[in-house]
Amino acid sequence: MAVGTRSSTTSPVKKHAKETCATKSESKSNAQREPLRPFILPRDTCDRSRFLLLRHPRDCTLQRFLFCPETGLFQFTKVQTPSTDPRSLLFARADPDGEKDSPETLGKDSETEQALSRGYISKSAEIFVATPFDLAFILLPLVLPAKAPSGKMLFQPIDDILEQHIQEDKHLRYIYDHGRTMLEDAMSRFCDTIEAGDEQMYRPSEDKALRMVMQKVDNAMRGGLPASLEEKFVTRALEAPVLSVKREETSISTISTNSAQATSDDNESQSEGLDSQSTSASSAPSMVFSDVSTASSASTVVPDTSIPQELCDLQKRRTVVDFILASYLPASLADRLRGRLGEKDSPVDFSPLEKHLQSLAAMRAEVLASRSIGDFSRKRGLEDDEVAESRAEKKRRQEEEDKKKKLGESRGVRDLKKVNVSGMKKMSDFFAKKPVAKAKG
Amino acid sequence: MLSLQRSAISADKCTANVLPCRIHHDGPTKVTKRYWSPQGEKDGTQTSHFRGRRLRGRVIQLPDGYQGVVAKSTDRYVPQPANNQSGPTYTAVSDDIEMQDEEDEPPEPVKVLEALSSFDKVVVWGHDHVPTSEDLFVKGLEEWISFAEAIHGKPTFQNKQAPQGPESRTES
Repeated sequence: MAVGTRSSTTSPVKKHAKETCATKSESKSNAQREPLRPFILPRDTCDRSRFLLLRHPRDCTLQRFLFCPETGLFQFTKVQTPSTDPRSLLFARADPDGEKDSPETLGKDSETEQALSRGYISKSAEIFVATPFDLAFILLPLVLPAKAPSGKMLFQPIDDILEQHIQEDKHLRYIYDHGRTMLEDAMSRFCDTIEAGDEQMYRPSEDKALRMVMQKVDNAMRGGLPASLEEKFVTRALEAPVLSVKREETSISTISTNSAQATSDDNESQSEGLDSQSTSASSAPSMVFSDVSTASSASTVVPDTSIPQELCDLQKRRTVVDFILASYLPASLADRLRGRLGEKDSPVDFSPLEKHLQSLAAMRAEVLASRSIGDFSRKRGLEDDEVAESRAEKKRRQEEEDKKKKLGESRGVRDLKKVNVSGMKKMSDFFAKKPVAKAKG
Repeated sequence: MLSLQRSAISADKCTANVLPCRIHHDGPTKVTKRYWSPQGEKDGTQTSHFRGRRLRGRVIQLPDGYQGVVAKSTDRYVPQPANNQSGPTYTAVSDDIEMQDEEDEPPEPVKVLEALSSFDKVVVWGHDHVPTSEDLFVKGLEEWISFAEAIHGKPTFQNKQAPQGPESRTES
C-alpha cells in the first residue's frame, strides 16, 4: 500500500515540474503575444499626442483619454457586447483580391513580424473608440467648488487656479505643458474673464457653464439625435397610450383607433373618450390596450400627427441636457444646473413639455386602471412583464455564477460533496489540538 | 502614459471583422482565401461562409478623420526630450535676485504603444442576417462618434488635407 501511494505521489510532482516548465515557456510567449488592442483614433494625431489617465468629471475615476496638442482631447469608449452575446475579432486582408499583387511586402513582413493582414484573431471583441471630449468638462470640477459659492469668487490667473491640480496629476500637467492655449480656451468658455496687465484672469461662473451646456445642446440638436436615442427617449416618452383591438370585428377596431387619435389630439377631452372606451370595453371583452411600441404599424403613425413639433423638440432638448448633465458633470454641479433650468430666467422653458408629460402619465394610469376591468386576454399587467424580466435576468446571472463555481472546484471536492459528513469531526479539529498536547508533554 | 508609434509595417492594412461567435484564441492565424473570403453584395453588405455557416456582414465605414489602429503594448520607453534636462531654470524675483525654481519632478516615463496595422472599415457579422442598427457595435461606431462630436465640438484637424495614403502619413 505504502509503496503504491508513494509511487502515486511522486508522479504528480514530476508531472508538476514538467508543467511548470511548460507554463513558463508558455507564459513567456504569452507575454510577447499580449492581446492586441484595436483603437479607432483621429487620423492626424501628432507625435506629441499621448494616452493619458485623467479623472472623469462625473465620478472622479481614472479613465483613459487621448490628448493631442493639435487636435484636442479624446475620450475612449470601449465598445463591446455583453457576455451573452459572444463575439471575437478577426483581422484579415482589407482587399481579399489583392493578395497576389504584393509579394514583396509579404516577403518583408515575414522577416520582421507577421503582418496583421495575414490574419489575426482576438478573442475578446473590444474596440476602443476615441471621441472628442471637451476640456472644459475636465476643468469644471476642478475649478467650480462642489458647494454653491456663498460670496463672489475672485478672478485668478489660470496658473494659480490649476497649480495644485497640476502638481498632483502628472497627466494633467502634460496637457498644461503642451496645450496651454486649449486649456485657456476651455476656461474662457465657463469663466468670466478680464485682462489684467498682459494676463488673462478667470472667474468661474455657473451661468456661463449653463450657457455652455445649452450651446452644446443646440449643436447636438442641429446634428440630429442618434436614431436609437431618439427612439428610446423621445418617441417612446411622448407616445400616447393607444388602444388596439384584436382583429375580430374590424368595424370596432377602426372606431377605437380613431378615438385613440382623438384622445391624443385633444388632452382636455381625453378623459371623456377613455370613459366611453372603458364602457364599451366591458361590452367587448376582446379589447386590448397596449403602448404604441407593441401596437401595429398603423398606430405608430399616430404620434407623428398628434404631437406638436415644439413638444418633440423640447423633449429632444431635454434628453440631451439630461445626457450631458448626467455624463459629464459631477452630480452636485449637475443638480445645481438642473435647478437653474427650472428657474424663471432659464434659457429654456420646459413647462409646456412637463404639462404634456403629466397629462400623458395621467392617461397611462387611466388606461392601466381601465384595463383591469375589460381585459381578460392578458393575464399579466404591464409591470408584471418588467418584474418577470428582471427575475429572468437574476436567474440567468445566478446560473452563470453557479457555473463558474462548478468550474472552479476540483473533482475531489465535488465527489466529497456526496459524503454525509454530519456527526463527523471537522477537519480543522485534527490540526488545532496538537500544539496543546505538545505543551503538556 | 502611453504614446502611439507607427512602426515600419504600419502601412499594413486590414479589415476588422466582428464575428458572431467567440474564438478562444489570441494570436495570428493564417487566413487563407479558402476559409475566409467575404463577397460583396449589391446592397453594400457582405456574405461569407465560416465553418459551413453563412454569415452576413454589415460594413461600417469609419467617419471622416478617424482611422482604426491595431496596437500592441510594449515595454519600451519613449526617450525623453533633452530640453527637460537642460539644467535648472530661474525665475526673476526682483531685478538682481534670481531664485532657482523647485526641481520639477521628472515627467512620467512614456511607454510605447506600437501600431501594427490600420483599418478603415469594420464589418459586423451576423448569423444568416445582416446585423440591425440596434447592434452594439453598429451603434457604438456609427452613432456615438457623430453624437460626441456634436456635444464636444468637432476636433480641429489643423493639418487635415485631402485624404492621404497610409505611406505618406507614416512619414510625417
